[in-house]
Amino acid sequence: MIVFRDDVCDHCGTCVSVCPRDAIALDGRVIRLLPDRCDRCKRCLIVCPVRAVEDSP
Amino acid sequence: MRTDQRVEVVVVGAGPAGLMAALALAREGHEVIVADRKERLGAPVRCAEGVGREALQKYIPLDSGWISAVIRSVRLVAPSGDSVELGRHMEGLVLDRVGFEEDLGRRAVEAGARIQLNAYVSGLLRGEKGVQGVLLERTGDHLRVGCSLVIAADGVESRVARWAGIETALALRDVETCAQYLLEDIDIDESRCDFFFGREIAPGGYAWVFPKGRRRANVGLGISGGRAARRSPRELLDRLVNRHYPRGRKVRFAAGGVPVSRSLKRPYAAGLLVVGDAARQSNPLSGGGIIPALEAGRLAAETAHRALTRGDLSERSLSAYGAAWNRSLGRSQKRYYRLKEAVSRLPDSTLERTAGALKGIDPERLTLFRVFATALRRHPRLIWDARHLFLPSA
Repeated sequence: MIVFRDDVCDHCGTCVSVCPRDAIALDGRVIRLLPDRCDRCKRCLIVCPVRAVEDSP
Repeated sequence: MRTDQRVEVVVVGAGPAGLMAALALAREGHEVIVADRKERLGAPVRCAEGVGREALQKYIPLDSGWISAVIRSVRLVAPSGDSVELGRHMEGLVLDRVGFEEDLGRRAVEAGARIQLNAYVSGLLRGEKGVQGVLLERTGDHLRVGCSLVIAADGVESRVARWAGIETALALRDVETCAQYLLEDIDIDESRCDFFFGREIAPGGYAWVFPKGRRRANVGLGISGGRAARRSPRELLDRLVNRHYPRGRKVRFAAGGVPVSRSLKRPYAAGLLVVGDAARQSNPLSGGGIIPALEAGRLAAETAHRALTRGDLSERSLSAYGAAWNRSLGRSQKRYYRLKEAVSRLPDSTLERTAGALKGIDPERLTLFRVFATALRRHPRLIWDARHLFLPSA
């Protein structure tokens, strides 16, 4: 499962721009994964400028 | 369709593209709302804030209140530390983006547009005729806002265009993942922008130092998303800052993504226009997005005004905007994309050879074209693409 660390996240939206499934919602100052859509391709994890995305088994 | 409110045009996103579109449409007498999830126009700043003076003044009267620094030259630094300096055709500005966007916003409001902050668009209303409104969340309320046209100006993280069926997801190599500090108390040439290149410094991108006046600068870097797996921009930036500005005071940090992509082939759908970073219209070589955003906003408003006047918001009617973009900056953007692809693959040895070959040339005589022509010696076809290059252009 992809996890966003809200304490590290800068809410910049770079992860949203590469998500092929529109599985990330960034509203106001909160980032959320829409787990039903996520296929764990990990592009969000790779591009995150501050390493706020983790993949926990 | 049931709605709680109706307006003529909803602009999603109050950055340069959205505000310019709103300003131009309001001036034509259209009823426009701009909605943005931010609390304040221009903030947080996710931008190096550099822009060409001549290009910018085509869109807005320059105001010293939001100009942080005037740039007279540019220095390109190779991994070895050898550098070349360019001083011609280089008049640039480093902006205060908050002041700049507040000014643009004020002009839009004076022209009759309404700007709503803390307003999150969570979905689209769609009907037979395509996009017919937005779902707006604001201060706990969920409103169905009906409209004739939506303009998606929602930045790199754009979802509005996707909801209308336009594929916008960026390939990893088509996004630069960036980190930037505003540093204080540093000794720099306050009228020169510096760019640092090299695989160890910023793989597939570059680092920048853009002066902000009074011993301050935006110091940041962007790396290709395709090469970001090993080290993050923030880690690389901390290393750069520790090396070059160990005494600099970090007053602000921002992360962000910049599209370095081809622009959307069809930045429109029935009832929808897509502008700026959302349409992947930033300059793929420099990453500069302010001028493309303003131009896209202006062009979108022109098409929208005609379409609204005729009462025809069909995809075909709105396709005039796509054609206008291609005639305007779209064409040069294709050249910049080819250059980006080539430049991001140049090995450090080529960068060093280029700096060595051009060392000592009078900055007033050295052009960016000559730098690229030297660096791309083995790619003669691309040199044609570089013939109109100028930075910071956008």
